[in-house]
Amino acid sequence: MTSTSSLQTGTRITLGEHTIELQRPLVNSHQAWTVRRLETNQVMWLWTPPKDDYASWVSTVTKALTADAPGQLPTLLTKKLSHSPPLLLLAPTAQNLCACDEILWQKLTPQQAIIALQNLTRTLLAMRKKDISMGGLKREHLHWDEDRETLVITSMPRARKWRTGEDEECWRDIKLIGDLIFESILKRVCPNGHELAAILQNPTRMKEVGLTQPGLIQILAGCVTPYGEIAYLTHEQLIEGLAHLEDELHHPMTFEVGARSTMGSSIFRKNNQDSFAHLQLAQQRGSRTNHTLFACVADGIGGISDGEKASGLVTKTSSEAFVRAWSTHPEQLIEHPSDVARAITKIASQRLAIEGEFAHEQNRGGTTFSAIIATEGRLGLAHIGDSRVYLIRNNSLIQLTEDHTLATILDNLGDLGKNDPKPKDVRDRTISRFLTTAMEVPFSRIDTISADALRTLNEPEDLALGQGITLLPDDLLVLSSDGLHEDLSLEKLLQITQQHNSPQHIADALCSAALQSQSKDNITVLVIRAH
Amino acid sequence: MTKPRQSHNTKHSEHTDQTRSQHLSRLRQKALSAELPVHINTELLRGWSEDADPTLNSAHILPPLAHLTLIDPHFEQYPKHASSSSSLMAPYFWDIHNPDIILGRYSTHIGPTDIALNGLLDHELYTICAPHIKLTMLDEDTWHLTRLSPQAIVKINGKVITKLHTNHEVRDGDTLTLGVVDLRFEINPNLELHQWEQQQRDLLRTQQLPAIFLKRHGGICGPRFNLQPDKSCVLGRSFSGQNEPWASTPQPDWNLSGLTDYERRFIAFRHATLQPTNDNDWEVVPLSKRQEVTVNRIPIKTATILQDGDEIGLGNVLFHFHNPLASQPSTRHTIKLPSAVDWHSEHSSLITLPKKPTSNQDTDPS
Repeated sequence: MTSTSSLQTGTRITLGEHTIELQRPLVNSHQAWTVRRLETNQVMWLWTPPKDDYASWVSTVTKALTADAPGQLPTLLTKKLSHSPPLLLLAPTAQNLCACDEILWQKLTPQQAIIALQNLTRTLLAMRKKDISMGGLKREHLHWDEDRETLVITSMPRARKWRTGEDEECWRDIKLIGDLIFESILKRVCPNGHELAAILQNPTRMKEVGLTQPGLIQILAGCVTPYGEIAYLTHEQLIEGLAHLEDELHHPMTFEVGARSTMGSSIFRKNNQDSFAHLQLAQQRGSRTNHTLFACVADGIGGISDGEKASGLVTKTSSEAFVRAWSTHPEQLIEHPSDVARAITKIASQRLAIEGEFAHEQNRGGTTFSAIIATEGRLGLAHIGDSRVYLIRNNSLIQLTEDHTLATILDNLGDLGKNDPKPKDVRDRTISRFLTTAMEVPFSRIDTISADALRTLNEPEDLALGQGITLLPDDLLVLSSDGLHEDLSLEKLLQITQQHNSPQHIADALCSAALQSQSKDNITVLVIRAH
Repeated sequence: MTKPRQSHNTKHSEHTDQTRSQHLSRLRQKALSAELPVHINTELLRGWSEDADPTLNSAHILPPLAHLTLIDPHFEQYPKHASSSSSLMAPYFWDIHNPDIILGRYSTHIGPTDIALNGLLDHELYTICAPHIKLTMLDEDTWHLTRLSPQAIVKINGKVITKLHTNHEVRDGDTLTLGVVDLRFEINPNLELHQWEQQQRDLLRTQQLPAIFLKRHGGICGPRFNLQPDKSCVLGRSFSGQNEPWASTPQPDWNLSGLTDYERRFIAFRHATLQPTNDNDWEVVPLSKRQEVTVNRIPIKTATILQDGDEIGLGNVLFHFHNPLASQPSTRHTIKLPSAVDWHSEHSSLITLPKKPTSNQDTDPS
């Protein structure tokens, strides 16, 4: 302890209106401390320069702290240059600090580690643009912010001006990041540079060490030495390498579908007017795979064959429209799944109206229609009629759709609705919106996730409606025609989804439970699990 | 006997007045989001182009006589529209472009209305009759309301109107309640009736040959289709026939797919033909088995001769038939709705005197 020997835990210093008390050192050299402001009990940080280089360190660090790296660097509150040693008082970026040691890196998931190191590299790049180098970044200059799950720079005792013309200046920083990536993925300490270089030249040893992860090997090779063609010479190259590794480690969300449809057990039902369709499309771009699922249920309304035709036609037309959307504008499909789902429904409605006009003698039916588009982490929904979509998340069941029935209308009318003489059965069975061969439904009458469900899920209820809602791994979606949910209580439905694991088993079990409760209608159920 | 269905929506029936109004406010918010045009390339998703004419969707070129605005205390943030320029696509705002106007829901059984209150929530629309009321400008600045349907709930400033076919004065700023919907009635102070008549006439005079003019909210609004002498024309909207039995069916001559979403929904793909007869006259022939054609609000099933100034209705979209070359002067102008019979009214009796409408409804102001 050289220049900072006058500083130790408990030391009190007055800086302008602040009186601070040193609490604990943030770095072994005691050049950075957490301090407490006595008046307010507020925690701050205090940095001091190395002994040999007061003036230039202070100006370098002052400049470094203005780099565009929000959340990674503290903010300078005040300087006291007359003090020996000079003092910089800083507003901390994090309160809940955790040492950046081996234990931390073995605990973090590779995804957490990669995101944190990408952000750190961006901060180093931002300082590079101000001509400042960390002078060889060390673990002890960093801490893990438990609250924000990010790395923060808690001291920079070796900060110095970038030596012009020397790209290798950043090599030591890059080497440390290579070490940390190794630790977070292989869960043990990284060998030293020479040993790692030797391993990377020997495929057998690489296999023995467990270096098989694509993306990781490339980063280590880039980080291990500043020489040779594959070495990273700039922060940008390292950021790119980390992005490739992130893509390689990414587990794309996939969807498992189970489906069952039956005519039902009523002696008066001679056909199945329900239709469903589901298709999952996968696309590989770069190192990243994206899965997109379209699934829909349609419950035909009308004469013997008309309802069946109508429901079949809309599931077919909408699936075709989905494929067109997917093949031409996959990004927009992912960003606005509900808008696209509603537009697809509109197109299906138009197709049905064309059929109704030009082949009117055999097409007088209509159909309900509920469709979802599930993509990486997002769910879009379009809905018209009294089929339903349920979301089962964390063992609770949320109905995402509102029934378009007379019952809903009369409920919303309050007293006026209560006094309406229509019996309950008529209220429940009268469908107020559906797709029909008689006309094309206006876009605004194609519903999406219900206002109540959005509130329950704490999702925005405003103009972001078209962007759908968040979809989480293990979410379970159930699309059903009224033959299923008419006679099956919510409790029973939830219970069945918990008793079985595979979506197909759940679909079969739901269907047979509905049959056992003597459902008179066609029964269709589609079960989707996000993985 | 069918087992009664379990209601999963018991939460609705449990709504207190306060939670119900919050619920309805959220429904309104969501409905507005759904109304706003979403820029999705539906042509691309459809796989064929509608070739929609965007000018069909442009705003009224003439100013309105009055307008109605939805009053919803739970939706204060919705901007008030002072001018008619943006009102075509603006939900909850309805311009009035005729001194005699029928408001209500469109029903295929009853026929078109001048103003269909589109965009309302389902339960609000449920309380709107087809037709609901008539608004009539009797002379300068004096408007009257007539209740048209026995089931129609109508209030003026909270006062319930029970009598059918009776005039009740409405003033600028009055609140009209139709069903469960409150509307503010406001008169355009800058337009007088004779000016409105002159503007409609001037617009028709721009056309020296037979043509059909699109009407919106009672008035000729801009778009028109010029009829070619000796050539019949089909009104409808474009459709796809690829790999279908109707592949060889020709597309309509006036493609109306550019109309608003609410207007075009009752327009058939091949809806009606206008064809010349001898002596510079024209007749309209219904083509669609599904959608209605009316002439002066009377449903027609066969070819019907048109006179200058007749009103053609396709679904709920109305057109003014303009024929300066007509062989005979126009004789029929007045549009009268069949009077509804109020079976519930205590005043109804077996024999009653016919009620005269209090104003002439002139579709041709010239």
